[in-house]
Amino acid sequence: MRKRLWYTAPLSLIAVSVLAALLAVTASAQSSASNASGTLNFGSAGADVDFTDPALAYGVLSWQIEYETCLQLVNYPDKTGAAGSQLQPDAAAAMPVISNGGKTYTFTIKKGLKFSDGATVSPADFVWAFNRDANPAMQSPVIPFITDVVGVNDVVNKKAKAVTGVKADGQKFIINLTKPDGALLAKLTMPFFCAVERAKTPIDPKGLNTLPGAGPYYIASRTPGKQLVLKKNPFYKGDRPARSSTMVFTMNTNDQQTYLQVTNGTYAADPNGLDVPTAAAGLAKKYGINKSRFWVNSLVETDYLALNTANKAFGSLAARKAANYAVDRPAVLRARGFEGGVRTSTILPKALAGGYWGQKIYATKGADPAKAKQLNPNCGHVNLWGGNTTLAQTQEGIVRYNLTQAGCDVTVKQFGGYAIYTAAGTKGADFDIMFSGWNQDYPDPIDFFGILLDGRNIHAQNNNNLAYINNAELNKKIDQANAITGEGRLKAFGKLDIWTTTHLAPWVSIDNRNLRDYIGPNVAGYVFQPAKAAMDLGTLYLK
Amino acid sequence: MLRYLVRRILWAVLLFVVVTLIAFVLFFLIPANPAQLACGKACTQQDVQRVAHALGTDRPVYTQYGWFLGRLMPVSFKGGPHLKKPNLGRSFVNRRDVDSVVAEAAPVTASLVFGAMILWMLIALPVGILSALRPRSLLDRASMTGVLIGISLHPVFIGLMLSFLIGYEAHLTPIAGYANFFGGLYGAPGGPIQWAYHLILPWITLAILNAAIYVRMIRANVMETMNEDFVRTARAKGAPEFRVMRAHILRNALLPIVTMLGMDVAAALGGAIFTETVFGLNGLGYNAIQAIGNYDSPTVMGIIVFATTAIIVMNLIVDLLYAWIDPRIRLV
Amino acid sequence: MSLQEQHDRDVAVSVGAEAVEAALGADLAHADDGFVVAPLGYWHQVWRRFKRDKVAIGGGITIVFLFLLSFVGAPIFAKLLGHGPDELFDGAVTSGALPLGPWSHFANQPYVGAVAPPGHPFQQVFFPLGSDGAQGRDEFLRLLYGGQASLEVAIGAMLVSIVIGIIMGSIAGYYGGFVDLIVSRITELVQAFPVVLFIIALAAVAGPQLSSITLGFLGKGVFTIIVALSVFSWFYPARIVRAQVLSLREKEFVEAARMVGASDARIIRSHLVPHLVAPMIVLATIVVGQNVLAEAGLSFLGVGVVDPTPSWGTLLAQAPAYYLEVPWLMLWPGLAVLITTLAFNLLGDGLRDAFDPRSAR
Repeated sequence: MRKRLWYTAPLSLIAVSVLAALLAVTASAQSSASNASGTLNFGSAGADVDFTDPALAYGVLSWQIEYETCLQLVNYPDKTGAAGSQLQPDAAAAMPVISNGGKTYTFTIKKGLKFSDGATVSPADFVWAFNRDANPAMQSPVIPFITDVVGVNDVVNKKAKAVTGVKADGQKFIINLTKPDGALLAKLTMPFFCAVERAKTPIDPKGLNTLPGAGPYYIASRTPGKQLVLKKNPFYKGDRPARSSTMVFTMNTNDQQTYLQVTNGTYAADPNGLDVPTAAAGLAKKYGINKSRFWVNSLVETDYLALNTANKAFGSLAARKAANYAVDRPAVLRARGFEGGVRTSTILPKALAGGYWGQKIYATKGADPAKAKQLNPNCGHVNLWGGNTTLAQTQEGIVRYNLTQAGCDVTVKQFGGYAIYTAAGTKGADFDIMFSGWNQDYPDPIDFFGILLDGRNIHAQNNNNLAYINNAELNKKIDQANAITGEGRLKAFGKLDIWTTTHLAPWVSIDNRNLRDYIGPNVAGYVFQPAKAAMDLGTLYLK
Repeated sequence: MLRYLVRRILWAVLLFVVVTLIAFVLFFLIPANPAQLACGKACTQQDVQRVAHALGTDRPVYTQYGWFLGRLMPVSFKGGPHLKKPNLGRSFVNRRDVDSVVAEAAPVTASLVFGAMILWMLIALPVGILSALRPRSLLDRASMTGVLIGISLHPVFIGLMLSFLIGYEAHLTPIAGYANFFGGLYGAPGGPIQWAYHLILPWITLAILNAAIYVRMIRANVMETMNEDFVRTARAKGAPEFRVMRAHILRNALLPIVTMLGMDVAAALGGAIFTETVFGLNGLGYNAIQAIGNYDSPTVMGIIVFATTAIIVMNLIVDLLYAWIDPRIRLV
Repeated sequence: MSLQEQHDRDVAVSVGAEAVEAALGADLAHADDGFVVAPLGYWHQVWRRFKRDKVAIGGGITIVFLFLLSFVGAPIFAKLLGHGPDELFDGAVTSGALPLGPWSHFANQPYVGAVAPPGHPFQQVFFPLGSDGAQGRDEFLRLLYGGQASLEVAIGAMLVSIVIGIIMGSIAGYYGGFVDLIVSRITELVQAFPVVLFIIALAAVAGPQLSSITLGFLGKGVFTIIVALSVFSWFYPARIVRAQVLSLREKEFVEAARMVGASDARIIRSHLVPHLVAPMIVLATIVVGQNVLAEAGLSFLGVGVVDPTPSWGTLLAQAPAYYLEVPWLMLWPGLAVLITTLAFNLLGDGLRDAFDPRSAR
C-alpha cells in the first residue's frame, strides 16, 4: 500500500503526455473562428449587461442592446450626428398630441407591428410596461423618472395594483402627468418603456433573461456573465436596419486580448468601445480617424471636479475660479490616452449647449498656477477625493500636483468602486474637491442642471449635487429654462451654462469624453448613435 | 479514527462559522451603500431607502448574518419545520442566484487550477530533485535563476506576452477565452479537446509561478532527507542508489509536498485572479473581484463560502491521506 | 501575482520552513553538542563556512548595495538630475499620450505645443529610463525611490510576522497543554481564510485609514501591506518555533535552568531564543524575497502603496497597460525585483548551509 503513491507519479506522467499529444493534434486541426456569414461576434471587455429585462436594464451596454430589441413609442433613428438626436415616432404613427396644458400625451400606435414570436403589438403592451416598471416586486430603477405619471406612486407604495395614469383606448395610448414635463418624450426613449408582451413577461424580481422583442432583433439566448445572442426578428416590418442575421456577444473578456482579437478579426468589435487607450495613437496613425476601422465620437458626457461650496477651501468664488486656472486640463485628459475626449471649461456637453459650447472661460490649454495664486493667495488645506483605479490615480496625481503648484496643501483620499458616491453624497462630506463625471440618461440639459446643480434637491444623503451648490438665482434660472420647449430650450440652457460657469464656478470641468471604437478588418457599416452614446449594432455587417 | 473524524468535522463547522462571520462583518463595515448602486444614479434618498428595505440592507448586521445562515441550513422552521434546499441568496447587483454564479464559475477555476497543478509538478519534480542531487552545481544555480525570473515578472505580463506571441503572432493557441468541457455555448467551441486547447496558455501562466516555488521546496526537502540517518543506514546496508532514492529519500521528502499541494490547490480554488482576468476566464476569482468592486456582498459571501469549504475539506483530506501514507502519524 | 498566488508562496515559505525546521531540528541537536562543549565554536564555524560561500557573500553585498541605492543613492540622483520622482512633465509624454522612451532629453514646456519666448528656451530635462506613463514622471528616479517602499514592506512584514511568530510559537511550545491548543487553533483559523478575498475586503474597509499611517518614516500604504502580509503569515514562523521549543524544553540544560529556579521568561529568553536564531535568520531571508513579490501583487489589486509614493509593485502594476507599445516599462521593475529576490535567496541558501554543518560538503 505504501508503494502505491509512487506508482501514481509515472502514471500521471503518462496521462499528461497523452494529453499533450492530443493537444498537438488539435493545434494543427484548429478551426478558424466561426464567422458564418451574417454572424457578428463581439467581445465585451470586462463587462456584461446588468439585465436584459427592459424593466431592469440600466447601463450603456444594456441600452445599446435593448436599442436593437425594443420597440419604443418614440425613438432616435439609427443615424449619427444631429440627425441621430432627433426624436421620431417608432411604434407611434406620429408624434403625440399634447393636451391638458402639457399634462396629457396621446399616442396612436401603428397597426400590424409584431413581436418576435408573432404576437401583435397593441397599446396594452405599453400599458403593461408601465405597470411592470412600477410594480414594487420588480424594484425597477426607472421609478425616479416616472413619479410624475399619475398613479405611479400609489403602485410603488402598494396602495394600487395598476398605474391609473396610463391607459389603452383602441389604438391609442394615453399618458397623464401630475405636472408638465418637457423631457417626457426624451425619457420615453429609455428601454424601460418598450413594448412587452404581457403573456410572456410575468412579474419576476430576478428579471427575465430572454423575452420576445418587437424591435429589429430579439434576445435569443443569454448565459449571464458569459454570452448573449441576438437574432433578427423575423416579424419585424419597420424601417430600422438589421444588417446581420445574428449577433453573439462574449461577455467579460480581457481588454488587451479583445483588442488583439478585434485586430485579427475574431471579434467584430468591443461594443463598449476601445478599452486599450494606449493603442489609440497607433490606430489613428494606421487607419486615420473616422475613416475605416478607428472611430472617435463625442459622448454627451462631462468629466469634472466638483468643488464643494459648502466647505471652506472652495467656499468662495475666487477660490473656485483659482482652481479652474490651476488644473492642467490637457494633462488630466491625456491620462485617458489619445483622443480620450475634448477639453472644456463649461458644464454641458456640446450636443446640449445650444451653440454655447467651446467658450474658453478658463484656461484649457494648460495650467496657469500664477493666475490661480493671484486669485487665491492663501489656498490652505484641500481634501481631494477620487477613485483607486490606475486611471483615477494618475488623474489624482496630476490634480494634486497642479493644486500644490498653486499653493494648496493637498491630501488625496481614494475610494474603491462607487463607495465614493455614498461618502460624497452625504451632506457635510469632508471633501473640498472630487473627481466625478456625468453621462446623460436622456439627451436633455435638465438631466445635467436639474440633477447636478439644483440646490433644492439637496438631502441628507444620496446627493448628486456634489458641489452642494444651492443658489436661489441659479435655481430660478433653471426653472425658467426648463419651462421652454422646442427650439429655444438648448439655447436657454447654453446661456445658463455660461452664466453658471462664470458667476458660480461650481465645477472644474475637464473634458467631454470621446467614445473610441475599433472594428474588425472585415466589418463595415459603422454608425455612432449619439443618443445611445454607443455604436449602432444594427447597421454593422460583415464585408 | 471515528472520534477523530467527528471532532475534525465539528471543528471545521466552527471554523466555517467564524470565517464567514468575520467576512460578513467586514463587508457590513464597508462605508458603501449597496442599495444606492442597485437603485440607479438618479435615485433620491427616499428611493434608495425603499431599495435598501427590499434588499434588507437596512437591518442590523446580526439579522442579516442570521438570514445568511438560515439560507444555508437544509431545514426551515418557517411555517413548521421542513426540509429545504440550502442556498446562498441573491446578488444585489444582477439579482442572479449566487448558487448558480458559484456553480458556473467553480468548474472554470477548477479546470485552470488542477491542470496547472499537473503542469507545475511535472516541471518541479525533476528539476527540484536534480538540483538537490547536485547542489550549487551549474544546473542548480541555473534552475534557481530561471525560477526567479519566472516569478519576478508580473503574471499579467506573462499572460499577455504568451497570448501575443503564441496566440496572436504564431497562431498556435487561442488568444483568450474558455471553452466548456461539456458542449459549448451558442456558436462557441466546446468539448474536452477545445477545453484543453483553450486552457494551455492559462495553465502555463499559472504553472510558471508555482513551479518556481515547488522547485525550491522539493530541492530543500530532498536535501534534508538525504542527510537523515535512515538514508545512511540504507546506503550502508548496500541498497542500490536508485532504490534508496525512490523508497527512502523521495517518499519521505515529498510527504510535506502533499500537504502543501492540498493547501495550495484549495487556496487557488478561491481564485487565481490574475490568470483568470488576463485570459477572460469567468472563474471564481474574476467573479469575486467584480463582486467586491460592486459591494455585492451575497456574491462575495457565496464565493467565500465555497473557498473556505474547499480549504477546510482539502486540509481534512490531506491529513487523512497523510496518516494513511505515513504510519508514524496517528490520528488522535 | 494574485494574492492566491501570493498565498501559494507563503505556503511555500511554510513548507520550505518545514524543511528548515526539519533540518535545523536535527541540526541543532548537533549544535547543542557543540554548544555544550565550546559555546563560541558553533558561531565561529558558521561564520567560517559562510565566508567560504562566495555566492552567498555576493548576495549579501548586493542587498547592501540595493539599500544604499534606494535610500542614499535616490536623493543624490534626484539632485543630479534636477527634478524629483513625483514631478510631472508635460514634455515627457508623446502627442499619442504614451511615455517617452529611455535616454530622453526634452524641453520642460508649460503645456504641449507651447512656444518658448525668443532668447529664453525652455529648460532641458533628462530622463535616463524615460517616463513612467501618462503622467510623465521620471521612471529612473521612481525606480530608485520605489526601492524604499518595497524594501520597507519586505523587511517590515518579515520582522512583524517573525516577531509575532516567535512569541506565539514559543508560548505554545513552552507551556504546551491548553495554551498550545489555543494557539494551534488560532493558527488553523488563520489558515482557513481565503486570503486574497480578505485582503481586498480589508483594504476596502480600512484601506484609507491604514494608508495614512506612516509612523513618521514609512511610505504611504506601506503600513497597510505590512499588516495584510503579516496577519496571514505569522503562523509559519510560529509553527517552526513551536516545534523547536517543544523539543528543546525537554533538553537537560533547560531542565537544569528550571531546577535552579529560573523564571519562565528567563528560560525562554536566555535558553530557548538563542536556539531559534538560526532557523529564523534562514526563514527571514526567504520571506523577504517573497514579500517583495507580494507587494507587487497587492499593488496590482489596488491595495498597495498609494500614489504618488513609488514602489516596484506599482511600477510593475502599471506596465501591462503598455505591454505592446512600451514593453520596457515591465523590464526595469522586473529586474529590480529579480535582483532583490535572487540576492536574498542566495544569501538564505548560504546561511542555511552555514548553519547546517552536514550540508556543507
